[in-house]
Amino acid sequence: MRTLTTPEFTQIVDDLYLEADDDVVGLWEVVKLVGDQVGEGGAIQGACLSVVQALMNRGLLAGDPPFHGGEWEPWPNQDTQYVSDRIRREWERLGHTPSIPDIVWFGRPSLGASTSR
Amino acid sequence: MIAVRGLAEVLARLRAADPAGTMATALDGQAHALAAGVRDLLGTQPGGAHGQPWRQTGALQASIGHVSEGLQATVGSSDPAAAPQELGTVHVPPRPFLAPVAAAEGAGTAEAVGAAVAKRLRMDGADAGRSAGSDGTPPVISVGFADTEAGAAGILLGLGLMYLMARQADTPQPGHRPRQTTPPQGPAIVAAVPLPPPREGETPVEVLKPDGQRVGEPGTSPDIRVLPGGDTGARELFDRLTKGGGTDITPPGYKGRIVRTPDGSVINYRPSSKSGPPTVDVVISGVNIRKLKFPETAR
Repeated sequence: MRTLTTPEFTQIVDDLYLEADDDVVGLWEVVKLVGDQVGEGGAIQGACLSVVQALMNRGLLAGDPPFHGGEWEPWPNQDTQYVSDRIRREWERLGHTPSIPDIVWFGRPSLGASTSR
Repeated sequence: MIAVRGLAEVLARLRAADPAGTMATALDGQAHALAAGVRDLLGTQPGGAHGQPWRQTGALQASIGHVSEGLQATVGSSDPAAAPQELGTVHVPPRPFLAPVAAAEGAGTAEAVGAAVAKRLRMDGADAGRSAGSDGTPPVISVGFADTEAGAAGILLGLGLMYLMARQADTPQPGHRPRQTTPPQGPAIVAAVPLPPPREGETPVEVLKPDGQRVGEPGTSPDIRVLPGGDTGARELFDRLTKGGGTDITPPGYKGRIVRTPDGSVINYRPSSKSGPPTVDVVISGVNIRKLKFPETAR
């Protein structure tokens, strides 16, 4: 397994950030796009967390998967380090590569504000 | 006296069909698709063909959007780099990213709007009715340039489709290369691929990539597909993809459904929500599609 190149990393972050204009974005999508580039394996988690941090640095919020009433809710704690640690812990507890229903989805702050009202 | 029977009924059906409203809805959908096409074009990586801007920070690509109002829609960008890239400057040749998409998609856009109206009229049982595009003749397409407020660049869609380029805030300097009056051809925009008819024993790959082509139209990226049909379409596709059985892993209280199939694929039907239209999320080996969106708007 290799690591992401800078253009690949930027492309993934840009694609997911753009997508967040229209929809919430699941960790599973990060996993899929990173995996498409580097293959699956132990080191994929580190690359995925780097993408997550970049998305949060651009302003996306982490939240529960949109399964409660069909809506997405941001987590109260949006500290990037907290979110990374939480994902890492839950990923390890999961015991497999995160798929659609797992761990965390990301959304724009405006979406969080509208859904939490 | 000549009695014309059924005329009042036909008129009532025509009114109920609301051709203008249908056209507006279809136009909005087409503007959305056109914006996606422009964003695709702006994904050209540095080192590739340079007839259009290279993707550097992604800001220009991310700035592409659309606004619809009645029978007019605009696709474009207010990014400061948009007009200089599209039109060129003294030092930089034009690298149009709106004109090629408008040129490639213009006819299809008009046909889609006309088809939406025709379909709506048929649904309302008013086959006798005729309006723009309802007899299979697409609305007239015109392509041209006009000035708008400085600093923005965009494609204006109307009943006659135009693409409308804003002029830069500063008048082109001497030596500025005049813009071509015929838009250069950009990369071909792939036409929407319909879902294949249901077939006994079909596999998810056969459903989602008939003849190797991904179904639907590209969304914000090529592996996000947009299809017609709304919630019904999303449910039907979910049922097709999961009819081979599997484990229902739907969380309690979720209004959608998630199934893990025997081959390890995971399919999620998400009903419409504040975060988006009805959507089917897929993780399927051998299928380079992530999401299939089914906006209620006819495409």
